[in-house]
Amino acid sequence: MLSAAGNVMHADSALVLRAQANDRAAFNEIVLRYKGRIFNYIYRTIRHAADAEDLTQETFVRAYQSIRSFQVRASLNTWLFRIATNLCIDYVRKQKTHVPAESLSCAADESEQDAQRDIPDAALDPQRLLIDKELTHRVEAALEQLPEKLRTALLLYDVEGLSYEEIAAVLECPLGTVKSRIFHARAALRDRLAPYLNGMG
Amino acid sequence: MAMHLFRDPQHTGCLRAQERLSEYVDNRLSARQAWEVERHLAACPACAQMARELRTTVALVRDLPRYDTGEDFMARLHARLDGVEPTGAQPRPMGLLAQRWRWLWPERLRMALRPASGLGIAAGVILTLWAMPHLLRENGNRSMSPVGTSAVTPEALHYSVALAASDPFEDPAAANLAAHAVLKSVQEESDAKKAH
Ligand SMILES: [Zn+2]
Repeated sequence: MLSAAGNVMHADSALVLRAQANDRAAFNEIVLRYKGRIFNYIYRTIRHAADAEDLTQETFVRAYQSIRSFQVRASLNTWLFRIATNLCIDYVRKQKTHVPAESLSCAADESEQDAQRDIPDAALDPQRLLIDKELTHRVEAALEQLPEKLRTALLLYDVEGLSYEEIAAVLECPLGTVKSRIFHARAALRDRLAPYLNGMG
Repeated sequence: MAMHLFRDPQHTGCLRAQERLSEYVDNRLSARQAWEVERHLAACPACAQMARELRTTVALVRDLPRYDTGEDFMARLHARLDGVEPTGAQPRPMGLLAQRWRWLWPERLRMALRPASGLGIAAGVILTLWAMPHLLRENGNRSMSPVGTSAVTPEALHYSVALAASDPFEDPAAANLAAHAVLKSVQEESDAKKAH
């Protein structure tokens, strides 16, 4: 029985094998497959669109450089998120020492460029809650206030859909730590959003 | 940190239910645990409201708008890749021993044991090669067969995993907990798959 995740991994493995043999088209396919998720994750972590784009580039440059040391049986997804996470950690450390505070609300901007970046299928799912801009902004503001560790775990789990086990591998953390961070991140968010949630859910 | 979680700290039933709410909304609890939570929620309006709020919060986070790279991303990337050479030799097809190794080791454990950088791999291999005989010797009568799983002692695995695991956020307890948690996760992973 092949699960969906198993199929993805199988397809990834074939691409990795080709990329390891200098097949640039195969690597191109890997990038196309993952760049959206990696960018969204980095952007939600560092909240600066141009720098997020650069770090996403850097993620794939590093992946390309070390593709031959990647073991085909491992998860490409986990590997790429791990590279991205380490780049984000370095970035955040540098920001803390140099730049005091920058505008964190690119996502709330109504600019043309940002509008184009919205993935359109968000509106197609009838099950989704109808979220007004105001509430989205509050969720983003609450996310920003979370400590980095909690935010990263929450982004990987609830936004990027990684499993506890994958996140443990990405963060090189014990599974218990991952669970605890997700628990506390959600509790803190709920706490901050509670005043706006009346009548929802 | 935990203070804000509990609206009614006198009730230990609340405490136990609230500790499980996050996994409850993910449907990750066992049938019995879920039943216990539900029984509490039915009797406790405060926790029931927390559960609703948590569920909505999770839905809001999952529905945040997603962003993608700009239009020139691929062109810029390939321009950069033109100046980059992949390092290391091309991997050779897996030998017989490696294939056996592959079957004997759970996926999670192998990933945890694989450090990201080339230097890390070299260091990991050297340390493991150094550590294994020492640890095995301490356990006396076990032989070091390349095939038998029983030869790879839990102690040796704990040691290697602890070396390989390090928290990028410098979690103080990580080094000690990593080995136990990774081994435990091998079991929990299969449980989690069943739950989904
Ligand atoms: Zn209660």
